Amino acid sequence: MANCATYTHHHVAVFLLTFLSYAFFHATRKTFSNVKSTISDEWSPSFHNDTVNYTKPDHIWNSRHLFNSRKDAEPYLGVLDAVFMISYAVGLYISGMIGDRLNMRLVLSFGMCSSAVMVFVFGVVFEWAHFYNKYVYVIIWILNGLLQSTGWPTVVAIMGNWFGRHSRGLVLGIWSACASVGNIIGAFLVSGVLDYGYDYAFLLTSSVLFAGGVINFFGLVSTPKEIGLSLPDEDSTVHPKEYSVVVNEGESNGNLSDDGDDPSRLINNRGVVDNEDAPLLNPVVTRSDSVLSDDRPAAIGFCSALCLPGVALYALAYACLKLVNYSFFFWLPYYLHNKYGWKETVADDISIWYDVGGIIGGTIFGFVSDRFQHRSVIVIPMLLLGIPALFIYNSDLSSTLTMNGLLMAVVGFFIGGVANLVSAAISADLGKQGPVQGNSEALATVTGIVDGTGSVGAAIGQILVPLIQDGLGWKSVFYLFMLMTLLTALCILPLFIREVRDLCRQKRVRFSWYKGVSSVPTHRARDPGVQDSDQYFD
Amino acid sequence: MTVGAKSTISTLCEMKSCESPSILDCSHLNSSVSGRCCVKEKETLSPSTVTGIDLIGCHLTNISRLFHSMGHLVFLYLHKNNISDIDVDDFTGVNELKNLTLPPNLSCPGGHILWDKEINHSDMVECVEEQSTCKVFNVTCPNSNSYCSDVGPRVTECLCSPGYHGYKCLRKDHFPTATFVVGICVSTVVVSAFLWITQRRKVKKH
Repeated sequence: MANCATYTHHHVAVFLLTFLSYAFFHATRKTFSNVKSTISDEWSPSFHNDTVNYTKPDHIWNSRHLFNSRKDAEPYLGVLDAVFMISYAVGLYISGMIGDRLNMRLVLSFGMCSSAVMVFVFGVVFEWAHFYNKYVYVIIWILNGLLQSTGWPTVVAIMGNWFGRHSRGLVLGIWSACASVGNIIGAFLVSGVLDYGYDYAFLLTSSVLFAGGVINFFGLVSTPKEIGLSLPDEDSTVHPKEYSVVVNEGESNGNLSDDGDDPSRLINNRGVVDNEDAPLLNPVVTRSDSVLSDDRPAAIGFCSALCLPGVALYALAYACLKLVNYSFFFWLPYYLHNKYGWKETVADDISIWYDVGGIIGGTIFGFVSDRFQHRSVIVIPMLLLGIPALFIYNSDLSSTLTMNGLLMAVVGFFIGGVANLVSAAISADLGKQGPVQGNSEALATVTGIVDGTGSVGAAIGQILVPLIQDGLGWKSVFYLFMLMTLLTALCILPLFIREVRDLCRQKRVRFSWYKGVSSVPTHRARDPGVQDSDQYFD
Repeated sequence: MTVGAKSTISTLCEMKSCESPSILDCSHLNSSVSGRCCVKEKETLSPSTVTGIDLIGCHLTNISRLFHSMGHLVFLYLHKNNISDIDVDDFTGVNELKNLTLPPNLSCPGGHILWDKEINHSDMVECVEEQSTCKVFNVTCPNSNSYCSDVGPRVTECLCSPGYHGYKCLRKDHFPTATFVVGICVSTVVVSAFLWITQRRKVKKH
């Protein structure tokens, strides 16, 4: 069990740097959202078919003709959002793989700096040069999406390197606040300088992102091994099979190499390496060997990563969940305006409560799942509770500002909280579990897969929600959200069942909030011949 | 002011082909006489300084572009001329007329609502006290950062209020770009150095 003594100032620095890096990524995205209104003004003339007066002088009011009117710019802004999301989703798969193969610090710094350059070109250069072209904007924004995708897999992987599974849930739960904090920073920076012109909003956020990239290059240590410390989960002398993380429990009983499933990357349960290419040897070897090795473990292939236990299921589950999470958050101001007539600024303020609920939920679920050492047992009940929460939110109970904010926080607690847990702590677990633990680099790849699939789901949601709302109304949209939440729970159900069975099998189990689940010591664990799927914990 | 404009106004003021001498009383306008024009006291003759022009019976047929930008023109007498038609564009930049006379077949430029009084005499039309088009038509400008400004009868423009500039007057003041860039660079260098010293100095080279 990790105790406070194992945390060094390096942990603090890594936490803060990765937190702020992802926050700044989000800040640049939020900049675009918040300046949409101003930018559509700058792209269009004042006079169009609907206006009565032709205002002169032309150079002040009518000289820009990228679009015929403000309203005509709206679909195009939607197109920009869509291409960003698609390239972001595609980029996530790629960036995860790249992160596991190259130096993560370099990938992150490069991603931050080049994304900052793209945003700078988009918002500052083109405005100062008065160059307006619809196609070039799309190209730049596609590149931006691809480069921004380097953020999430690398920061989660770096956090996973520094914080072991005993504390991962809690730490990553708090750390997941980085996205919301980034949104707040972005909104704050934009509102401060928007009066000077929208180009200054982009200048500000892109400069800050670029500075972050430079600071990361000089100050981020991506893995404890770089400075001679040991990886967090190596500090245990127990047989590795015993302490493999139980994200799922049936498939990790070590038979993977026997079915010929990419044997070069995995080791069998007897701890003998099948292929000499695997740089690290028998995991039963004491920790000193693995610490001394300077070689980075070989990175896992995409298909092997996908075949890791739990990855495919959680990726699909996250697709459904991120659809709800993202669409709810994105369409909220529009929904509130339609249903209650509230102004956009009011709706923007209220949506912060969703984030707050998500952070609190993610932290608590992370803490509790750390104690249980099982994640799915927490995820399913919370997801199922999210369904009535959505239903209640859509009802008349949320007609006042206070109740609306409160109920929104509740929905955020369940839905957003689980989403935070899945995208951070669970991805980290999946990437560092049994077969790959200490032997392959899979963390960034797995995070990329999970988040990439999630983004595909979110993109589908962006198309579905306006369609359904147009045809069937907001009630149906909420039914969609409830259905998707149920589907998420169904995807994770197999893992849940295994974990419950596993927890129940712990006949002699003591549970304390301090120590978590612990079993009365037995000798069964030491017998490698036992063909059991029990997992025992430290 | 172009050379053309200056020569136009000199031509106007020194017109010799008129039937009777000028009837303008320039002293009422704090102006001095210059041919058939009144020019602001102690100023040289130019479109912006002329305060009164008498062109009665001067055989004019067309007045387009003659009176552009005469922002301080107060009296303008054009009757007893054979002018076929006038347009609001002929009076671009003329906003302060107190008394305009035209041949009887014409009407006051911009219509009678833009004048305090439109008096039809037997031999002329008299337009009294030009009104502000912005006020009469209650012209609103597209956004709150701009204000209406008269260009001429029925012609207004929206200019940026003080402090605002740029396209659609959306921008206010000026961002301290230089200070910002310097500030960011310095902070980045300081933080990077601090973190490199505390974090990465011990990194083992592979």
